[in-house]
Amino acid sequence: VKPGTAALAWAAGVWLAVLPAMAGTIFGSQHDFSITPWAKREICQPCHVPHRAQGEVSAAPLWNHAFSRATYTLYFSSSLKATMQQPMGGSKLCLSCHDGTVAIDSYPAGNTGNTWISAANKLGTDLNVHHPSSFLYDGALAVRKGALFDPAVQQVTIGAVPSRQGYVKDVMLVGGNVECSSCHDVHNTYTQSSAKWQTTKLLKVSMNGSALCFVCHDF
Amino acid sequence: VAMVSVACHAAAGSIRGSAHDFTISNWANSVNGDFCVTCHDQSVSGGESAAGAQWNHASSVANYVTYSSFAHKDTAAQPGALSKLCLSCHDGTVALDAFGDSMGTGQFISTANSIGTNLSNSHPVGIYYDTGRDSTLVDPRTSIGIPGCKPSNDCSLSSMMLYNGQLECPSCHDVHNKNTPPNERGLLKESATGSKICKVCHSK
Repeated sequence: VKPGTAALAWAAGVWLAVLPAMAGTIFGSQHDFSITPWAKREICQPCHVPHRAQGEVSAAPLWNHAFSRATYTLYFSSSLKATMQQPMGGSKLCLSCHDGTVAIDSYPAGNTGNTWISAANKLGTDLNVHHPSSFLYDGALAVRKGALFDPAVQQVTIGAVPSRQGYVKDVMLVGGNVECSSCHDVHNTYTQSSAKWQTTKLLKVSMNGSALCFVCHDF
Repeated sequence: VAMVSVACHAAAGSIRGSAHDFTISNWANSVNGDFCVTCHDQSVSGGESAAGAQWNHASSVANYVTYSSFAHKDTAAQPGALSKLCLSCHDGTVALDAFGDSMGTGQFISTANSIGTNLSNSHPVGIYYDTGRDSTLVDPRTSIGIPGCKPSNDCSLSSMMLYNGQLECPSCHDVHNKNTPPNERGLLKESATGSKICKVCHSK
């Protein structure tokens, strides 16, 4: 059975056209859990709920999933010029599954699940081995650090179909911060490709020629 | 023919037997078999709320905590007039049976069905549906195939889901259970299965 065909099989009765390999939609993407037994055929519910959402992380968008209680080992490097802090905002939401301390099916809040993220998709709580996130990236940092573009000046096109053009500050940063969502589009809206069996990681910009890195890094 | 159908699994298509059929409630004596009187009275013109068709229920005077998020592109104001009608029961500050000349008897909505006055944990209402500010929203001119769409209707998203261009409680919920899909909870206008109700507007 080809990956994606199961999604097509049940979805066929619900939607006329659900293609398994399209960028631009969460359907059939890595974050479409509707074909798993625990998701009860809902797409949005593992993360969002229209009423009685959690307020534990301030301004989290209608959040329905249990949060991680982990304290993270932060990124450090001798050349680091940014001020690091514990993950916040959107990154904290991603880590509520991706640090591997909370079951994927731990929702709505208060429910404890028993399905765990795969080792391949788990970041763990030691963030020193990952690109830093949850830090302010502005023109001043670009000057201090050198070899960084000013995010208020540098433009970028994210996604394939659909795509969106804008300043790095506007289409990649969250409140001026680099967060997980700076590089990854959780909903697979503005990505290069979405197929589950491809290792594109829901990236907003292609890694061909390390293009994604060079959006910010001026080397 | 029985006027009141069995309460537990109401058929879509009628308020009779639905969650808003109070003729079968435990305070039904004050309703006296009238399906409409809790909310409407034909002798009322205009009523307390300009949005309410012959509105007959006491209004809430609550000031609501509104929604905000770091992903949200608009500022949620106080709920619009239509949503305020829903909240006149569903915020839990006004008795269900406070209608007509009655101040109510302290018969309040259940905890399960009350969303309170803190709306920060609910999907925003009273917001303009602005694709210019959120490019992942479906074009409001798009024809949508929700159950309430009939061939003779204007089935555009803006016609079916928006009220003066705004999102309000009735954007998702059909208070009268007229056009809800079969076996759906929450009087939704489209099924939650496959998150279809979300996908009507959110192109993600």
